[in-house]
Amino acid sequence: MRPKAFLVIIIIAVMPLVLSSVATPFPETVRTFSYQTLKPVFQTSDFVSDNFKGLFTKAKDFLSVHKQNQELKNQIRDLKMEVAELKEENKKIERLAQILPFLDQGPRSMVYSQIIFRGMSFWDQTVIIDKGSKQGIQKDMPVITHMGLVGKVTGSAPSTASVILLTDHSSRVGALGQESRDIGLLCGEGVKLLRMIYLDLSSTIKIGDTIVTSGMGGVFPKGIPVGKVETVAKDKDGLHLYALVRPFVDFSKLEEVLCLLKQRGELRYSQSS
Amino acid sequence: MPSQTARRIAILSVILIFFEVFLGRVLEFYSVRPDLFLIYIVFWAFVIDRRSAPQIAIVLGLLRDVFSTGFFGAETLSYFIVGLLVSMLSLKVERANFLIHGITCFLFSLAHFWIYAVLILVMNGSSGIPGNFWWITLFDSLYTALMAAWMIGFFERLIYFRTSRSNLFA
Repeated sequence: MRPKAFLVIIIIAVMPLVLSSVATPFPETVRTFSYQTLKPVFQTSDFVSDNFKGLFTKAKDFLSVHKQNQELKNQIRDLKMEVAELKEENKKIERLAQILPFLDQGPRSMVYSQIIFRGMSFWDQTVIIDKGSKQGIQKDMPVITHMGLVGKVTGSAPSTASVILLTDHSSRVGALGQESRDIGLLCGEGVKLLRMIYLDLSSTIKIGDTIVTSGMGGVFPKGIPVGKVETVAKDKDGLHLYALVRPFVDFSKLEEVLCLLKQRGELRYSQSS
Repeated sequence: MPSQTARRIAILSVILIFFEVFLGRVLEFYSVRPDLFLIYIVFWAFVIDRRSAPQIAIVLGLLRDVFSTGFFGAETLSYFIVGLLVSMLSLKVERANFLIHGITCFLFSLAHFWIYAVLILVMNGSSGIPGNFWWITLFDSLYTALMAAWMIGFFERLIYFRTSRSNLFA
């Protein structure tokens, strides 16, 4: 290869990196245009991928059907007892709602969206959803499912938006133990488990505790369920404890999400379970 | 130029790019997936034309940058460097051996991750590198190597099936 031609190739290879450093909106414009243009293809391919992966899951499920049957019977027994308890709780809530009318601010507005694209590598645990600024979705809006917290919006185009998942290594969420009330910081690590750091050495957090958002930082409302503690151990520095948290949401099977739109006043969220 | 072979290469390229961009998740196991673009760069350098491998790497890197949410341009540059190194290496190794294909893809997959990590470190600082970086890169590279050991030979048989093996870019 001639030196001149080689120099041109090197310039072409470096050009995108330089452009994205100098002209910040450039990459976002290119990406948004690509996602918008190929939206139907992404939707179709996502459908195909989900169904293909679903075949293996179904085959695996068939092998464990007897064990699952026993487990489900046990669950039905437990749930019957739980229903009775919940009926009592429901009556209690009805009474409390009459006493505390100021809490009745109406449900937070939500936008239902479908996932149309997922990041291609572990570097970007990000998904693209099929709703955007036209539907009121803006940057930093919390994203949830009926199971719990999913992540937050990092950018929005007119009819798409990108959502960073909790598992992304740059994701940080203020969290607390629902039972122990210990406060920490949840960090994504690119894998299924989340790491809750900066827990006090005297904290009483234990395996099986539910972790919810702390409401600190102003992005996530307080009380959104995140996951359950799987491990608690002392940090390398010996000054703090850390906990490994398994999220309630299975990010590999995520298909639909809800974006919480901003509202005035205190943000509240009640766990449906 | 044997036009039938050129047509097969074009079709293979389109299918591979489409698969990696739109259906890559099908091959994913526990967040680990093979790097089909890297396999294709090695295939191109070893089987088709080693001199144009860096240009192919730039095109694939750009595609990767467009259809991801990482730092724009980092994939293009890291793939280009890998393409350049692969094209130099292709002169010095036995290019028809499936073990060499696997080992090359393993090493260059690791190299691609590390070059990308260095670029991210320079652009974003250490916050851009995940804590379990070493393990993930290792498993991704192993998976890529296993796929490459089979795929490169398969691609070769596919494009030269019942055609002459003359050099397309001579």
